[in-house]
Amino acid sequence: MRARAILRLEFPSEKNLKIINVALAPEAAKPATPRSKVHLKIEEPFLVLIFDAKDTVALRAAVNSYLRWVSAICNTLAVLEAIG
Amino acid sequence: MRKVNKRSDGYCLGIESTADDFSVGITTFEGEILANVISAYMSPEGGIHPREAARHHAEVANTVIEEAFKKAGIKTKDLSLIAFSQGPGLGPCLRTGATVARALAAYLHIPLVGVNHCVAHIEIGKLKTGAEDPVTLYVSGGNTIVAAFDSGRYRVFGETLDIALGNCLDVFAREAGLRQKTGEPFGAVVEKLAKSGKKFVSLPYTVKGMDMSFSGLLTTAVNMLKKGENKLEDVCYSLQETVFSMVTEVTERALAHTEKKEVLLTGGVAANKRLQSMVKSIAEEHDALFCVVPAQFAVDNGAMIAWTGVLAFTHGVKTSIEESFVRLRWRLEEVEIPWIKKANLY
Amino acid sequence: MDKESQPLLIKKGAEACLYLADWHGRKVIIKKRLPKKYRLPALDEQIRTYRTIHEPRLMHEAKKAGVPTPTIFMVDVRNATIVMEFIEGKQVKQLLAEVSERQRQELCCKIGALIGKLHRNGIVHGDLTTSNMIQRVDGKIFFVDFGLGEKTEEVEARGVDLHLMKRALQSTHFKFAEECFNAVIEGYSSVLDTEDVKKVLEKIKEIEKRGRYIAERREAN
Repeated sequence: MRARAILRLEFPSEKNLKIINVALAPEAAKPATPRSKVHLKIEEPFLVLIFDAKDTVALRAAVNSYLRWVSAICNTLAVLEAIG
Repeated sequence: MRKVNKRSDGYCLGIESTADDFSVGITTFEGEILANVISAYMSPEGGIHPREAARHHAEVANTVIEEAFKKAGIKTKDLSLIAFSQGPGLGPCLRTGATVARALAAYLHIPLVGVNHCVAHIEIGKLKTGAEDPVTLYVSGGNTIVAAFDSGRYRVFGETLDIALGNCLDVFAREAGLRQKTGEPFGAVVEKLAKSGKKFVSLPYTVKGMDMSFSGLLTTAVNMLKKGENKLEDVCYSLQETVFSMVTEVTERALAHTEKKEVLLTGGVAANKRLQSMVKSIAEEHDALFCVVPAQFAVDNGAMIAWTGVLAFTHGVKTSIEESFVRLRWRLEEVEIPWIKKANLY
Repeated sequence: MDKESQPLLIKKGAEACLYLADWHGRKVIIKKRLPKKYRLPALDEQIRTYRTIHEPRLMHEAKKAGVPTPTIFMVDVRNATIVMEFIEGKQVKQLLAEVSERQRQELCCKIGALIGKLHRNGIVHGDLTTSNMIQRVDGKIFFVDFGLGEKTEEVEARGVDLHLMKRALQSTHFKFAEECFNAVIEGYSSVLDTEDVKKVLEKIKEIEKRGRYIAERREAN
């Protein structure tokens, strides 16, 4: 079985969108496992993540990882904004 | 309390995330440590769980970073460098730290530098103890390494052939059903019990050349306990005596071989008093100075990454974001150390 | 008649002290394993006794297997002391740095063949470094320091033995470690069956992968 998921994430600012794309790009370029791969692209104001996996287990693991990273980065950027 | 020297060079923020600790440190380019915030992930069952730890890292990243800035008393624009632990370590954990580090560098438009975790342990040890050219014994849950500098790199003289010493103690404690308090490593629990141990029971002592093996010994110790012929305290005592004698023997051989005049003890297990006394004993035997790294800088920490980042960056090392892939098996001797000029051949 | 001269300390190693002495008219090496203060006396005695008994046995076995080792003259278990023949020559550690590339290859190839002979006869040395090999003036290579050796035919032990050799080359002769190790394997392969060599080489690869992060392997599975 093959599994695919496409996520479209909308970000409040263009700057954050670009930063997240840049931060995730090396992970997408060198996947941790051959069981899934991820393609990133920007369709403003969306970051589009296309996941292709060998099965649903691998798909879920990949989606989880990327969403966690996105959320960690967003929260961090908010902290940086606040600190100034 | 602390004097902040606002330097034109600015500051470096370092992120450590190789295993179960997520930590952020901030240092000046002169090696003054302004912040070193550590958030340890403790699995309910003990042991390292890479995915659980990585989830923890992602969840706490923002608050740990915020606290580090508060402690350091600086603004984001004061930073001029971001360093991160690029390896060796656990994939999911390393990736989480790396993505956050990249985002920081991109957001602040400042350079990024990937740091080898083992190099960082040695460098922060030198910074905090004043050691200049030591034989280093680095013992933690993930690593057991005896290393010393020669001709541009830290050479590994001895290491474990299977599991790390800290891991051996952790697994033993877990198998023995010991409980740890929050923030207390399993090694400390074993150390406490070992103190009331009296009877030494023989366990496999495996030193091969300069390398060591702990897995056979671990199995024997666990079986011994399960059979119930020996008291838990005695097994803890014997286990400690045996594994510490092994690493000390290897360290002494490296010391005799290199004829260096300092021994640096670091890593999470460095806090163990019995290990300290053994390593101190061989240092004295060889007229070398014994240096032990203070606990908060001996465990995995962000300050060591920040400081090593400064050393690397000021000697021409940079990591472009596109090339900042994590390196799970990045060996210590693969790293060039341009900041040490001396090329001493013994 | 025979006046014994005062033993001369020639090496204060981490594990033992070596003295050069005159022993009944012969030039000998006295190897004395000194107590280690850091070790528990019970453990210390156990380790020193074991190595003192074990080492001469293995040296004798090695000699039978065709690997030159110094002749043992006396073993004093209680004092953890071994008296053995003194080999007049040069450490391979020193030689490797001095000779030409071709000589280096030949030397390493010879060493590999000797390691092969040990392994073929069920012996692993346990501490294969270039300081534990001496080339005698007549060109014969002697292996010394069998204190960490063992009798075993396991692929694991053989793999570790060669891995140690490789690591020793890397830490002391890093400029030509790779060519040296390749020559060692060449010599090794000339002695052992192709199948056995293949197994050992695979084992070395496996050993190189472990040791760092056990959890990482668990995760990969």
